[in-house]
Amino acid sequence: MSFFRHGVRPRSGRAEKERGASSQVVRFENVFMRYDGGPVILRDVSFELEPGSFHFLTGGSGAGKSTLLRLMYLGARPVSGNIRLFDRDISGIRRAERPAMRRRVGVVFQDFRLIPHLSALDNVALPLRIAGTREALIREHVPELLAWVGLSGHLDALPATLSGGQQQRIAIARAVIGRPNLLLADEPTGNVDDRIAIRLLYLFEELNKMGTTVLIATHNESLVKRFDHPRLHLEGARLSRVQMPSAAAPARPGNAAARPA
Amino acid sequence: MWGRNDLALARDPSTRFLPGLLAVLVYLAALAAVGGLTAQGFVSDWDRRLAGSLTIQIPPTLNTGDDASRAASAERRDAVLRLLKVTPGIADARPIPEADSAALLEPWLGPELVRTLPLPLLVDVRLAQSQPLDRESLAERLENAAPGTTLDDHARWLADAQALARSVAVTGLVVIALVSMAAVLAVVFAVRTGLGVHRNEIEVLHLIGAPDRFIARQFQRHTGRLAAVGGVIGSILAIITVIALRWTATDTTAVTGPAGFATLIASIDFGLRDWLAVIALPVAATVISTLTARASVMLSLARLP
Ligand SMILES: Nc1ncnc2c1ncn2[C@@H]1O[C@H](COP(=O)(O)OP(=O)(O)OP(=O)(O)O)[C@@H](O)[C@H]1O
Ligand SMILES: [Mg+2]
Repeated sequence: MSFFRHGVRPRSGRAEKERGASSQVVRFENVFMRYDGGPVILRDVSFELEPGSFHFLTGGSGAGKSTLLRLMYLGARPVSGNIRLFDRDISGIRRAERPAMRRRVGVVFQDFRLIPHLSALDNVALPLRIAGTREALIREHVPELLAWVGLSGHLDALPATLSGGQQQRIAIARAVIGRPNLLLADEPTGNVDDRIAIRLLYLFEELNKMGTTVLIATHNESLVKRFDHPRLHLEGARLSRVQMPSAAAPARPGNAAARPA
Repeated sequence: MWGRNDLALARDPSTRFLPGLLAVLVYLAALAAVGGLTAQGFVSDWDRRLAGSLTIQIPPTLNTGDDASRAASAERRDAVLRLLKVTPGIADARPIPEADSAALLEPWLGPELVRTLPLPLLVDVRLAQSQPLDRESLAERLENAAPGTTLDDHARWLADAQALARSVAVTGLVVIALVSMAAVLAVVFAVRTGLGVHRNEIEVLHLIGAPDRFIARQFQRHTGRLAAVGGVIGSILAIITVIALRWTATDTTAVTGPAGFATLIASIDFGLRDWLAVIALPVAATVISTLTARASVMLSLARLP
C-alpha cells in the first residue's frame, strides 16, 4: 500500500502524534445530544479515543451512531457537555479554524456524499487538492489507491454510473487518501460483499498501523467478531465499552485473526 | 480540466446569462467611453488651437466706399500692427485679408451685402509662450491707437464648448458607473443562485476540510471566464459600431457636403486612448466580476453556521 508509505499526507501528523502521545484524539465528557425538538439521542456520554486506537461502534438502527460521528467531524454541536478533538475544546474552535481541523479527520459518510459531477478519481483527489498537493503526486497515488479498492477500471466514471458498493469504496478512498489523524467510517461495508468488506478492513488496519485513530460504525456483527478491536456500543442513548482487550493499544499486526468478542 | 471545473459550474444554468449580459454592458460602456473621449478630444483640440491666440477686431470707419475712409482704415490697422509688434508677449500678428473675412460672412449675408457692407478688419495674433501678455494694458493702448478696437481671446466660446464636452464626458462616466453596478448585481445574483444549486456539494467540501476560499476560487474562476468572453464580444461589437458609424458618416459628407452631426462623427478619431479604453473594458469587466464573485461567495459562506 505505497499510497500510504510514500506519505501522500500533505501535512504530516506524525510529529503531533509523538508529541501528544499522552493526550486523546477524541474525548467526550457528559455529552447530551438531541436534534431540534427531537428525542434525546445521546445521554451523558463520556469516552475517549486514544491515539492509534481502533474501535468499532455498534448499536441498532437509529441508536445514534451517525450522530456520534457527526459530533466528531464538527458536523453538529452537542446540546451540552464537552467534546475535545485533538486536545481542543470544539466549542472554542472558530469557523476559520474548522477546515484545518477537519482535514485531520477522514470521514466515510453513511450516504457516501460523493460530488456527483466529479469522476471517481477527482472525488478521491479532493482532499489532496484542497490541501494543495502537487498534481503529479495526485496522479500517482489516487489511481493506486483506487486500484487497491478494486476500482482501477473506473477512474473516470461518475458516481451515478457506479454500483452502491463501488461508490462506497470511492467514499472510503476519499476518506483515507490524505492519511488523516482520525478516521471515522460510518457503515463503510454496508454495500459490499464479505470478501471486499474484509479487504477494506485491512485497509483501515493498515492506516491504523501508521498511527491513524480509527472508529468504525457498523451493523456487521461477523466483521466485528472477525477483527479483534474494542467495541463501543450505543443503546438507549447511552454508550458503553463492550470489551477492552488491550486498552489503547493500536491493532498489532497479526491480531486481525478471528477471535470471539 | 481540474481546478476550473470541480464544482461543474459550467453546466450550471444560473450563470448562462452572464456572457450575453456582460457583452451588452461592455458594449454600452465602450460606446460611452468613446463618446466621452471624443468630446474631450474636441475640447482639448480647440483649446490647443485657440489658447495661444487672440483675435483683434478693428471696426470700420463709418462712411464707406471712398478712398479717404479706406486710407483711414489702413492707417488704423497699421497703427494697431505697430503697437502689437512692440508689445511684449506677442509672437506674431497677421491681418486677415479682407477677402477671407468676406468669405466667412458670405454664407450668412450673401455676396451683395458683403461687398457693400463695411467689414471690420481682423488681426490674428499668436501669443508668445515664453512671456505673458498684459491684456488690460494692451486693450487700453489699442483703444488709444484705434478707438473701438476690441480684443477677443475666445474665452467665452471655449468655456461653453468645454462645459458641453464636460457634460458629455460626465454622462459617459455615469453610464460606465451604472453599467458596472449592473454587472456587479448580475454576478452577485448568479453566484447566489450557484451557491444555492450547489448547496450539497459545498457542504461536503466544507466537511472534508475545504476552506471558504477554495470554494470561492471555483466561483471566481468560472465567473471571470464568462465575464472575459462577454467583455471581449461586447468590445468587438463596439469597435465595429464605431467604425461603421465613421464609415457611413464619411460617406454622407462626401455626397451631401458638411452636415453638423455627420461631420462630428466623421471626425471621431479612434486613437490610442480609445483603443486602450476598449481593451481595458473587458479586462475591467473580468476583474470586477472575479472580485465580486469572490466577495459574494466569501460573505455568503461566512454567514453559514
Ligand atoms: N439531521 C437530523 N435531524 C433530526 N433528527 C435526526 C437527524 N439525523 C438523525 N436524526 C435522528 O436521530 C436518531 C439517530 O440517528 P442516527 O442517524 O444517528 O442513527 P444511526 O445509529 O446512525 O442509525 P443507522 O444505523 O440506521 O444509520 C434517529 O432517530 C434520527 O431520526
Ligand atoms: Mg447511521
